[in-house]
Amino acid sequence: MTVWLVAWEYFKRAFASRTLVAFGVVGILFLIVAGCLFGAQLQSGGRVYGAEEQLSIARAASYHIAVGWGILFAVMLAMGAASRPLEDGSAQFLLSKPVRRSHVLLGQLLGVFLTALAAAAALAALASALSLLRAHVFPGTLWLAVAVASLSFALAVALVAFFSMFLPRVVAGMLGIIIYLASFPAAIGSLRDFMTGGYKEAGLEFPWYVRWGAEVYFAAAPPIAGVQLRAAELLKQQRWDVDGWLTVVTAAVYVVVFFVATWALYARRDV
Amino acid sequence: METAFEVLNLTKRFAGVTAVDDLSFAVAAGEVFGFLGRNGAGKTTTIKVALDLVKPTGGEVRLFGDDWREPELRRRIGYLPEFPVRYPHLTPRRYLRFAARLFGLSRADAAPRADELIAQVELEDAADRRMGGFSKGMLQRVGLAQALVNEPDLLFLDEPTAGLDPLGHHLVKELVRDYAARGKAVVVSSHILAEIEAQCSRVAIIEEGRLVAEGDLAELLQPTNVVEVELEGSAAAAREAFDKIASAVDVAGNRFVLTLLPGKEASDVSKAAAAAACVVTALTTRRQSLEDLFVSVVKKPGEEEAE
Repeated sequence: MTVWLVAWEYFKRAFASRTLVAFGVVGILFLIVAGCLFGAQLQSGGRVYGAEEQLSIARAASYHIAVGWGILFAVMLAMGAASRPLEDGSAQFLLSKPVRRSHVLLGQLLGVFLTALAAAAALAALASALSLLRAHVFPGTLWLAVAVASLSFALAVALVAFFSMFLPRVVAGMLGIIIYLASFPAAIGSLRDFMTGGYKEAGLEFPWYVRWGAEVYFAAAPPIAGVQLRAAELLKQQRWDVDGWLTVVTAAVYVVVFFVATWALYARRDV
Repeated sequence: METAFEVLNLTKRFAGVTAVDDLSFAVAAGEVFGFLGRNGAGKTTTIKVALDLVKPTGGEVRLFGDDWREPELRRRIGYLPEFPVRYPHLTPRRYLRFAARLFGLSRADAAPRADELIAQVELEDAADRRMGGFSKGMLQRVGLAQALVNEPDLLFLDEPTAGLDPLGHHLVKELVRDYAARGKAVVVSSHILAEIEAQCSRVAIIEEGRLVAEGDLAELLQPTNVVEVELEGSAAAAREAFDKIASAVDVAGNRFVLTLLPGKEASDVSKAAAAAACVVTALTTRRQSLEDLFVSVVKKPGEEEAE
């Protein structure tokens, strides 16, 4: 109950922030441009795309904007969600009430997650409206994909909140964005297969540090983009293979591990 | 009587700086306890340890006899921090409802409780305005209201009158009196010593985290060598007699304030008055003020010269 109270208060507070509203408006502008792809005449190299292909491209563009914006929202909010209340004294109010520290932390991070989810849902709703208006099709799979991709919001929140416990907030946020961008190559299965052994079949040889670096990178890169790309497969109603499920499970494990690590630091901090 | 708040050999160090050093004292239910010290003496840190906001380096705190780290104990505690409110986007009414709900009140019960508190701190006119534009005094009133939301059995007030106007000071005084009369413990940390002296039955003074004085005010404040006398008879004759036993004599009609010479006592004043054919109608030995006591126990040798 207290977790929900703290989260809901955080959610309302976030939407009172002008910076976030401005950030959301920019996202909406991007999406309107992408949404115009619904029902548009797309062509490439003289080939005109069919209606199904056009819908597929528009859906994918809308999806990646909605999810990408949601992740950026999550990073922006998460960099101050755990550490700032401890530093500016506002956590005193909550922690002087019969509320456990873990509930306060969980509530604040849940508030960030809900805000990011709301931002992505708002963009998905706008994309759906544009799809209905221009192509007379409701993109149901877009909603399913955004719902699944919200796990990447949770992962971004957990990572950035953890870094913010011992790094300056801006650095923690930047690190979150860098990790998000850097996780894209790790999410591309063919690249991973090539870099972790496939290169030998192509007759190539890499120095030991590249081989080791690639092994570590592909094993440890948090699957933020991985979840985003895997969820994108749902847009085309593709069924997941084992790798798809493994990505989601790995992301969930990352969320739990980083939340526990954040909690371990949060619990020891003086307010 | 139940011990509401007990500090046992508490020590807290921050990055090599000792904020609280082996501190021990206790506060009983129904007691208004003044907690005094200079800025940075360790008062706020001690209170924060009690609320588990700050982790102690050593020692412990007992709240109503139990371990202070148990969150459920805070159902019986109210806390007004030095900088109370950090929710500028909320109105006092919504803020207090939120505070009430954190204590487990239902939405239906939180609303009337918030309204009661708004009336209690006399903020009806600003109850639905966002707190972002509030003055320090108004925020202090809201902070006070949130500290009372659960009708606590132990109330910590850290600089409760900071930023308040005279009506606000009166409000705090009445509130503290009311809480003590209802058998609740109030711990007041303040720099306004006259208020502490007027409200508190016991005090503790700390300096550099160490306890330097603690006890009932009546016992701590020693009689001074200043005596106030009212008499009937010739003021001129009395003055002549008092000049022999006092180093300073202030006169206002038949009322005298005497600073007695070393070795002289109040009984010598009566004798001097009788020798001058005057009748003493009132004689009071002034006691040390809390400010005098505070300065005497806190000031280091040579500090006055440095200032």
